[in-house]
Amino acid sequence: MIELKNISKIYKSDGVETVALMDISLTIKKGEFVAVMGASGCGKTTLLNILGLIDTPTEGRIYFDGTETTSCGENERMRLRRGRVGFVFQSFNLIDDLTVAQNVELPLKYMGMKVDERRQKVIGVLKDLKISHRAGYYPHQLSGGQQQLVAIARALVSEPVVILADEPTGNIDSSMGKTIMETLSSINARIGTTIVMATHNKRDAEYAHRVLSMSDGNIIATEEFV
Amino acid sequence: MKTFLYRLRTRFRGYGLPLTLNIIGMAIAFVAAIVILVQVRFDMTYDMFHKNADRIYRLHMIYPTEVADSVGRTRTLAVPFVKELLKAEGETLIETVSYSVLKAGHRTWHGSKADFALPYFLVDSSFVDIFTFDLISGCSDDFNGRTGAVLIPESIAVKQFGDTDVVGKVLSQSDSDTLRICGVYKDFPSNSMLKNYVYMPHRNMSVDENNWNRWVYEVYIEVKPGVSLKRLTDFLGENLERVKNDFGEISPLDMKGWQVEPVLIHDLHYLSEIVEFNVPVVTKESVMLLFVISLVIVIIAGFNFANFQVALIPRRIKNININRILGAGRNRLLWGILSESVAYVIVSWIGALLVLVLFADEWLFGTSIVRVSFEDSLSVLVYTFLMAIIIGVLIGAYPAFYLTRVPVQIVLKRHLGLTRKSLAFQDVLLCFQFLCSLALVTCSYVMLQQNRYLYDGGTVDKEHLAFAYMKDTIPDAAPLYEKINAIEGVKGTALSLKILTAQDEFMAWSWEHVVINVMQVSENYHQVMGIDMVEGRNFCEKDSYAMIFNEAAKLKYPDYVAVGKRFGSWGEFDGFEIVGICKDVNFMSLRKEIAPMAFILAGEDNLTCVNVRLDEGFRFEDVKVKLEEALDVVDTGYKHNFRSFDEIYSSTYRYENLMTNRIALLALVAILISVMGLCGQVLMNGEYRLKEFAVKRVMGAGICRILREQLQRYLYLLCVAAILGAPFYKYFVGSRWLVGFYYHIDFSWSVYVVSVILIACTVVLITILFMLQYLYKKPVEILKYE
Repeated sequence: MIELKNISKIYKSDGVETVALMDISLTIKKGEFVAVMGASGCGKTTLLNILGLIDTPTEGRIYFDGTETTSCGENERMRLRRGRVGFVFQSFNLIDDLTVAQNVELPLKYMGMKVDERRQKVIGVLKDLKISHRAGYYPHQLSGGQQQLVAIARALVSEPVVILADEPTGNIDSSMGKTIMETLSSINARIGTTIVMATHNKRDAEYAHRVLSMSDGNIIATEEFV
Repeated sequence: MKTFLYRLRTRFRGYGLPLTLNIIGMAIAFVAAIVILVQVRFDMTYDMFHKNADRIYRLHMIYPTEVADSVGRTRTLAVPFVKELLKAEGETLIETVSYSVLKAGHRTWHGSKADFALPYFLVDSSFVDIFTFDLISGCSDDFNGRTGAVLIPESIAVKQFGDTDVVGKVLSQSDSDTLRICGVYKDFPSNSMLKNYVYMPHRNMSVDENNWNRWVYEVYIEVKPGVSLKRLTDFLGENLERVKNDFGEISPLDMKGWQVEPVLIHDLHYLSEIVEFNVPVVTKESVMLLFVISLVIVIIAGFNFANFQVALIPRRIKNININRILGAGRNRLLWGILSESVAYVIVSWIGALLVLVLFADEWLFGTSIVRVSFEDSLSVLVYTFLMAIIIGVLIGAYPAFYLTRVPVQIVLKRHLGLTRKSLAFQDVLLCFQFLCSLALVTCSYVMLQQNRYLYDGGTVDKEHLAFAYMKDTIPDAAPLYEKINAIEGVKGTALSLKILTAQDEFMAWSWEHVVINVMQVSENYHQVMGIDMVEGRNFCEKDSYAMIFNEAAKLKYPDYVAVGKRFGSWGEFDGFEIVGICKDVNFMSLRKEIAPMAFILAGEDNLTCVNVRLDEGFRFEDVKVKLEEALDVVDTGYKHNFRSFDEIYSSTYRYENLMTNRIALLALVAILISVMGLCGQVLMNGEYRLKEFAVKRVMGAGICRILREQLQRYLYLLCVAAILGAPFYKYFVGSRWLVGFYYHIDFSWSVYVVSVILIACTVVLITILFMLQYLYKKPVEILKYE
């Protein structure tokens, strides 16, 4: 589904080079639930951004659904991403001025879907995640866990082939975190959506089929669960 | 102060550009407001410096209404008429009466170094009692017709004698007349109808005391304290009836339908029907209009600032509330925010003062109708300073109350963006700004068009016509024609009694039921002036008593005015033959309906105004000197001055031109401020929505798509403003302003639509220019810090 070959990412700032990823090769299979673990600053988020085509590597190649994307421009990568990749962020990144329903609707809007169809899908996904009663609320009127559920709904609504979740439980309490993880796991199991999740929580990683351990921009270990 | 400077530094570091734009915008608004208010103050305090300004009136006579406006009101009266008018009961109401001939005459005076020419006013001794002459030296006791004493202004005393101690010096001496300086008065302010000339006592007043035919005196009265305008008007009205009844036989005048009107000296400044010394005066409405525009400009800038302050709320909310947790009182924080806001506006005000100090004389007051120095207008500075404080408080009020009233726990727990209320507030402010800009753009455009229409419409071929007055009539006009027509570029020459645009100098002629303006002209006048005949013929050699009327006269008096009829028979004289009807010519101003007019064929030995038509391709400036030299030869002993009709028409519409130019300038200022505000708003909005843009791009939105979404908001607000403004445009421009002119351009919606499109284009341009920098930021960079 997504294949990375010899990917490196180096940030340059004020003449100082910071290596975020170092010669990483990785294949994410369709339907897989992969957890990426490691300490802060080890390159988890950078890896997720490169997998999701919102960032480009300094070196190496990326194959997304068989398409080589390294040489793709911003617009082309956006088209590849649109509707096929869902994102869940640690800090939710909901838009403050939009209601829950409007936030969830966004990816569908950019896909050019008709209004009626969009509404049905939004209601459907909110019901699935049991937050349809909050459809008219604004983000600041929700708890952290509820906001993350909305973010998952937003990632899920376009029925993407892959969801990239960056520490989805990082900003919420443990009981709500469990709910979030069960939701992601259930999506993976029921719909077959590929999920790549960055986390530093071992308990969360246990939901994954495969766990990649990272340190200083390298994948240092891979552990698979059946 | 230290805290403020620290905050200012922090603010500039955080969002320097939008803050700078807002401060500059506010400063520009204050510059415009101060310039206008200085002018408004100038107009509103006109002649108010006299001790009893609220009790001094000038008397006017109002003729019957069917007479054309320009001759419907006279400011000159006869002495016996006024004396009879004020006789009964007058002593209980009137303190002092003064008769003066305020039309300035020119005279050569003796100075200590050289002779100098200066106009003089002929007034009676009561004049100095009514009006405030602040004497620096001498006294006004000797100022009467017997002594030959005169008053001179301080500026002239210093300029011509080098000192103000000049009492007793001879200013003019001839066999019959010796005039000595009896006092030096402090110069009158420029906002007074009294000029800084020589004031001479009238020596022939006694001659005119019983002369009912000498209607040459301007009459000023000072009423006793407590006498209201209504009481005075009633008294004058009652007495006029008595004068009409008692003295109908003594007076040679038929006063049927006449009225006396007392006008407060301050209000003389606003009498638009009267042209004072050929300078059109200002109207109260225009002063109010300017005042309102100055307020609108400040409001636009204030709204910009308010918008900016609201946009800052999400950035400040956490810091402010952390201070609350750390022990800062709510009121202390509230006052802090308010005073910061006031300080920004005061910085703008100081900036405006600097601009005024540096550039006032060069160009700011250059656009004024009257040059005004703002050093004299301390009250305006105080007023605008107070305005700055109030604006600062108003701007800071919403953020101050909102920021200090939000529950602390909510602020610390979550990232708070702008609430729906705050966003709606911002939208209302923006919408109002668009509305103001739209109003100013459309108004200035319509005024410009109307002015052009007035200037060009219905006039003679003004670019190719010139005129000059001769010293006196000449017995034989043939040498004059010969000399002038011989000049290369001259197509023809004609004579008339007055210039065609002489306005209130025309003779009003009343015959039976016809009241008409009349001017005597030479035979070839219409031909030279290019006034076409619509009926009948032009004057010809065999005509003796002949008249040509204009179309307006024919339309108004169809029973009297027709080709072939005779007009003006009196006794044995069987009147003038009407030989033709000519096209209406804008001989006055197109503000009013073209009045009925007649041209009488007169002998050339009675006419003093020389009218010259130039050939196509010749400019007046090229032949002016030759024309004057030629006339100097024929009419000797006088320096002639040829002027183009273009210049005369320009001066007729000078006031409209100045108003239009000024309003256009102010509209530009307002638009500039709006543009700056919009730039600041777009910058703040871009900054505020940075994360939103990144998220949307991650979700698959393209840059154009997001840009379109942002544009939609501004264009939607502009549409709302356009819809709200449309009825106002129709009402104020279509139904109020344009109909104030008898001849006006058609009301058109296209001007409004074009203005909306223009503003929309500006909005699109600004949004694209300022928003792109945020849209092109990499989402990954933005989200990394979340």
